[in-house]
Amino acid sequence: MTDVPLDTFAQIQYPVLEPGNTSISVTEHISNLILRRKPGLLWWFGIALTMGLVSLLTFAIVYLIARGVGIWGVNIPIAWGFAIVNFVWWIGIGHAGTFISAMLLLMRQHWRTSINRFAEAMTLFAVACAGMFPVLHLGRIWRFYYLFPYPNVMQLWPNFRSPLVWDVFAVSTYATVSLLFWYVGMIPDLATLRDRAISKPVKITYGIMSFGWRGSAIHWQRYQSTYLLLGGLAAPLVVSVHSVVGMDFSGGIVPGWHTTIMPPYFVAGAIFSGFAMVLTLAIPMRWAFKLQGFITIRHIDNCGKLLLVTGLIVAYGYASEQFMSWYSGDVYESFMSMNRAMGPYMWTYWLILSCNVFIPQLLWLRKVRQSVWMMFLMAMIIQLGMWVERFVIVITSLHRDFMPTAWGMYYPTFWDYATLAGTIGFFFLCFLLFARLLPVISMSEMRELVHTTHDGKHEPAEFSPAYVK
Amino acid sequence: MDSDSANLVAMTGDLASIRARLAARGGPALWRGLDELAGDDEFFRKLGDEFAPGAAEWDDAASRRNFLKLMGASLALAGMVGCNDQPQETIVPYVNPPEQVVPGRPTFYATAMPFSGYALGALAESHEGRPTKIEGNPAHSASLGASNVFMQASVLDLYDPDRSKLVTHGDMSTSWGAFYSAMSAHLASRRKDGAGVRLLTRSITSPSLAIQIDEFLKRYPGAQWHVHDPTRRAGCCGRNGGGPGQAVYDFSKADVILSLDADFMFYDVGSLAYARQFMDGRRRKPGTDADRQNMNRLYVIESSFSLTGTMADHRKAVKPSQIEPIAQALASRLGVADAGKPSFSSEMEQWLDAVAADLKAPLDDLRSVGLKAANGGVAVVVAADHHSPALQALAFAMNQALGSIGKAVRYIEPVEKQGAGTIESLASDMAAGKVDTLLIVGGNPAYDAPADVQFQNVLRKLSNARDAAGNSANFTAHLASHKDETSFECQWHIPESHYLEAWGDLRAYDGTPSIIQPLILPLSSASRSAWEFMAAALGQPDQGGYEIVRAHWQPFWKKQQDAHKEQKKPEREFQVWWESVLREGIIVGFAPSPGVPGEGNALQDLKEPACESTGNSTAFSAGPSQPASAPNPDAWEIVFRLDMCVWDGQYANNPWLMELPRPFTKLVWENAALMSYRSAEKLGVTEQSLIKVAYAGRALELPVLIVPGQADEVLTLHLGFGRTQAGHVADDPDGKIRGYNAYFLQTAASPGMGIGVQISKAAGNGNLVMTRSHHAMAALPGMKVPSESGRLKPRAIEHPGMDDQEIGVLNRKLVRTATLEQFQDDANWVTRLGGDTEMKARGLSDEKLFKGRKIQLSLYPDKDHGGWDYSKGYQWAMSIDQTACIGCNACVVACQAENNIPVVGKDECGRQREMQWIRIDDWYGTQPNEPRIDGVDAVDEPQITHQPVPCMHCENAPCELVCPVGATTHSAEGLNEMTYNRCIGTRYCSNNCPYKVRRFNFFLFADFETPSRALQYNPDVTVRSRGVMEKCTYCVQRLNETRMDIEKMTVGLEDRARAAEGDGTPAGAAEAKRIRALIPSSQTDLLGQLQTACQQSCPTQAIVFGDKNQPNSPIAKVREDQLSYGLLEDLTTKPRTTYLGRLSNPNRKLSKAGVSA
Repeated sequence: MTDVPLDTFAQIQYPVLEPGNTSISVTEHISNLILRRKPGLLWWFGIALTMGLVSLLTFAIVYLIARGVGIWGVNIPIAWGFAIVNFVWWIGIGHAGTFISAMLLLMRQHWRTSINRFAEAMTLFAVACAGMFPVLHLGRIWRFYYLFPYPNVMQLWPNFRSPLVWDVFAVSTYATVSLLFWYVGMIPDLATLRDRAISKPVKITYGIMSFGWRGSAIHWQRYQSTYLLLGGLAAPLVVSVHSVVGMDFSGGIVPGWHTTIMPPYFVAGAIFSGFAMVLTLAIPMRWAFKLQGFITIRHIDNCGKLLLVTGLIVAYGYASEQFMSWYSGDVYESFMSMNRAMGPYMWTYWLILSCNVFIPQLLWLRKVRQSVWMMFLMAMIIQLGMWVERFVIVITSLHRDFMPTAWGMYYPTFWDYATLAGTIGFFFLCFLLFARLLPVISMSEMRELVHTTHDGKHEPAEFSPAYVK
Repeated sequence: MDSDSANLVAMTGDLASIRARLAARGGPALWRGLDELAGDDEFFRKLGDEFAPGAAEWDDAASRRNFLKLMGASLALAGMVGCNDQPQETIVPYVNPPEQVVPGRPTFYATAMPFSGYALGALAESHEGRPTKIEGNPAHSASLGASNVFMQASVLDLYDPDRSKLVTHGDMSTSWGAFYSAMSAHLASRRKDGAGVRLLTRSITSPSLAIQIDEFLKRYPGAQWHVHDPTRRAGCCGRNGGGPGQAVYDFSKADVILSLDADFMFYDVGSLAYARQFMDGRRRKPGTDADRQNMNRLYVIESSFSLTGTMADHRKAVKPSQIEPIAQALASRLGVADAGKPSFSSEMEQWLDAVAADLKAPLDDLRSVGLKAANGGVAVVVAADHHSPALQALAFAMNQALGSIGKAVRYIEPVEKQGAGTIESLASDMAAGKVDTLLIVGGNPAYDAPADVQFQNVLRKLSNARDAAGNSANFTAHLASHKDETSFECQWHIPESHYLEAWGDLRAYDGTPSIIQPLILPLSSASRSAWEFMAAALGQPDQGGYEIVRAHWQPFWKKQQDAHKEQKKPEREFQVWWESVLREGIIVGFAPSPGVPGEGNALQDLKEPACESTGNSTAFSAGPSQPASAPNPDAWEIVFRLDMCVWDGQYANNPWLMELPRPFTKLVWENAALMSYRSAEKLGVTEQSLIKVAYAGRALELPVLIVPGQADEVLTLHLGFGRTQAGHVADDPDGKIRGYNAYFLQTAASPGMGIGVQISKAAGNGNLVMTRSHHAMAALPGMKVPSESGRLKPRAIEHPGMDDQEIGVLNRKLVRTATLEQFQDDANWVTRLGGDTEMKARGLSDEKLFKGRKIQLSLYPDKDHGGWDYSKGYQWAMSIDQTACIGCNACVVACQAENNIPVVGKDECGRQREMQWIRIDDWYGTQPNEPRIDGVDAVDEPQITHQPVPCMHCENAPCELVCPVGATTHSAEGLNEMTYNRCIGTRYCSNNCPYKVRRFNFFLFADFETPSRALQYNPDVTVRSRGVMEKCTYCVQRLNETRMDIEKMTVGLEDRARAAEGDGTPAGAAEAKRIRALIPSSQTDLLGQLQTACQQSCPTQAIVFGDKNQPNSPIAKVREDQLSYGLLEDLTTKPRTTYLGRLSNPNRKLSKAGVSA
């Protein structure tokens, strides 16, 4: 009985996996999405749309490199604009994947199994989008490598006191570990695809990608420990990346940036927006691929609870900022708070309070959490709120700082919007391709889940069937 | 043949040669492209000429460099034209004899810049033969080493590619010789006495040019000479010999100064000297008995804020028509007979009483702490020259009554050549057919003549008139630097040489003559100076400016010798004198004779001014004895002023000046209709709304700009915009005209102002761009700019005695002002305003605890700043005196010229991307004293404090910490340095700069391609490329040069000392000691000469710079001054740039409390 999950009641009412699934049905359903199913009109439509946006992005980047960052709305005093807002937003979205994979893995949360694969993919794509911005926003893009401690004859080093350098390390480490974690976790599934593939080229491709996986016990043993170790490695990164991004701001003296709440507040905000993105992807995907049996109401409900918790942490961050600006007695800080709430950008401040604090309180209601449509809407609202939150942090802090004679306003240009829309297109293009080419749900782990939930008897994972033909 | 067909021929010619080349090849004709085939780029360059260089960028308004590129493209040709033989004329450098010219080190030559026709002594910096920068000549009485924006920017005019390069006749280019033969033939064909021949010039102060004009008039007795000069709107008084002469002031001798609408610190031809003198009388003298005691007082009565008005201790904004009645009222209080007695409200009467009392017994109100008038109580009255002669007469009478003539003001024989006709009489003669020959020497009357003169029309008719045979009946020629509006209406256009290209002479505001010494051969061989043009008119087309000017001064030299009854020196001695004159930049011994004021009642003498035309009667020409007509208080009045940057329009093609933020409006690239908030509210318009201004039968539509300190129902228009033929800079990239031509409303009778203006709302809005968020204060929480009473509420200045309970922004202690008396009461008020932290940091608060002990603001050890020890070596620092800064912008342009700072264009300014390294923050603040007796709330008449903000060079620089690549670092000498090569443009440094003094190259703003632009660049300063951050460097190139000089000098001395010691004798040791003693003194000397560009240009010497480790250096002293403070010091940035709090000296008797006391 010790193996019976604690949330038995919930388990029975809202199972993590729909009853009736077997190892074979799971494998067939998921692998058939790739190997047997022809892409529908909707998919092609999506590809066309996202390709259009990616073309726009390409054009925006070429024009940017040709002309200079002046094509954006940045100015003095607001020298950071959409680029940094988008960077922080995308990096935040990228947090949920690793949080689900690593943190929930370490915490033995069963429900992570059916959402971890695509959440990890989402992380990678979001980090790829995020990674573009710090390079693109440079005045001299072609000198981006100055940021790395590369060997050079001048023996010049980056300035290790600057948080931006640590940003480079944090993001690149995160991207590397996330990629490894994702790929390692996919190896048994790639082998399944190899074995189930019909055409020769596909077989060879998946064969190469699966690194000669044969499903031997020793493979499984090494696989499991590698996966766990990578999970252990990735878990602290969930905290570190956005902490470092938070320190990009708290390292400055700008009122609104210079505060110690930034790292935890950024991490919570990241997971908040990340889970919103998970929902944004999961809800249409489970409908399109008929995955309702794998991604159940239980998942959506759990995501809703996480949104509620992280949303409350974010709300605490907002409250703490306001409190500290009053409690510190600092004229600049108190003006900043006042200006955020009542200055020319006040609509953004009240928008984030509505999107990130007030509306998410509906998540206390089970009815809301278990309504697919409500949750999709909620996810959209939170994504918007979190983007605007970064806008508030970056832009309203800068636009009125110490010298009233040097204040300004920020007016985004067409190219600002084009770049944002372009990265959104890039993200979804990657995701659409991923959904066509790679298993969106981990087959091997699902089989393990079938084993633990339906067989009623628990066997160590190592002995679960390697793959089913 | 038109140019298109010429191109076609050239192209077909090339195609033919390509065919020939193709035929010459053996085997199958294969080629990758025509360029390969043609084998040269020339062909394609010709093809490409169809599109101007940079034309591809014209579609994008964001690109501003296109105009500079275009500007420069054609100058390559001009440069080549300049490479021809010229007669050898020796010029003499200012300080360094020619044999000491060191390549890579600049040479300075003394010359003189024409400014409104008058001389401003200049030192032109020459790098291997190309002038790069203009400084003031310290020996020259009109500049005293300082400069203004026009001097600084004039060097860019030299290299303006839009300058005309060829003599043209209609549309055809021709030659100087052709022009000369046409002119002489025409003059010969006329009647012998020359009736119908007219000469039109600007104000003439040049002695040699004056004689040429006299000779011309002698040769053609029927000819007439006219002057039109919008920059010199002197009333008849003084100009045509009827008045007391030209007033020359010495403000350092005055204790109380009353300005009647006179902006003597900026508009006047002597403004640089006047600003210096004024500050000499105002500045504290720390360390002397006079410290905290002597300070002059300035009253300004004006309609619209002027720079002088911002310096006023008491300022009254009144309608222009009120200025003369006020002057009358004051004059009668001062005992001037016949002055008239207009009546005012009782508050105003009281105010006038107090001012008159202060003029009579200067500074009598100050408490008996020892304050007294430094000059024994001299008061002086200054009247604006754009008012009627009556106002000049009143000022003269008041000065006479006050006994200040001979002390603070003297009247001299007018410096300008007298006896010219006006442009109105010329135009009416032209219209009447009395004119057949018109020679226009300089100026641009078709653009800048008052509209009612219709000069452009009559000139066009004159030029186009044909005789019966169909030949041109008349002869019109124009000498001008550009083919401008006037040139297009004349038959002939002759390019005018820049003052750095041609010889000449000029006199300064006080009559001192100077020689204009050229530094470079004319860039176009066709260009001629006014002197050469006049010589041609006198029949000597080949006479060079050098000969003319030198020949003029030879008799003067002889006369001077005779006067001194010295032994007659041989003629070659003249050369010695001549060279010394050139070297020094002034001619001594040419004092103007004093004017002869009439005996007895001065006003009676002046009642009949010998003015040629009195014009239509307006309120302003009312004689002083007539009762002042009380104008309708609700009627709108209009004021015309020269623009503070493009002046009368002659600098409209100068990008530095176009983009220079106008003082206190911060408007760039165009002009607007200035009005007060209350007036705008009454009209129902807001800023940027277009209004239709109807005046004197014409109407103009332009946008509104609301300014504080403007009298209600007064509209101020700035002249100089709306040029149609100025060049590429003056034209909008869209081909629209920049700004609005206010000359279109001007009348000849009353060019400075007028009443009877009808203003109505027009549809639409303007697109004015200001370089600061103009309404920053408007959107502040809990704060509205216009309060219910329509008053501005710009209380952002820290002042003792004012509560600072306003929300955060007002409590930042950025600007600190006090009155002289408050300073006497509390010498530490500047620190006290900074609050507890600053008090503790200075060891001032809580005597028992902190006596003599300074508290550190930071937890970190004081020494730990990048590992440098700031107690050693040179430690550069700057201090800016806010009492002295008049906000004239000279430092901004000086910095731009010195440091190769690009311009970005109007659109980029609108996107807040301007590049000037210094920004001048103008803070409106209220006068701190008690309620005023005239009932005016000080809020209505704010005081402006100018605060120039360069880089602070913080010892704890926030920018350095955050740069990921270490592109901005600290030097051992305390400079915050930019390494442009290392910068990748993350822009975090700018975000983290609390002062926002960093500037970013958002596009490729710098011009690397235009050859002429390259000529002006300072070779010691990097031209920054796209994507890098830049900012004030404290002119590090100048610091490096001085440091190297000191090192060279001291190293040499040390060697000599060692050599002297070598013999071991006591005499040798003594000699070594003597030599070693020279080391610090030579160091001090060189450091004393070191000036940053902004400091050097400052007319009031508000900027002090130097090594703060030198114990007796001015900067070390001023940093210890009680008024010294740093911006945002509570952030512990430890700025190296500090400020001195602003002091003012208001009259206690003008406050209610002061009266009852």
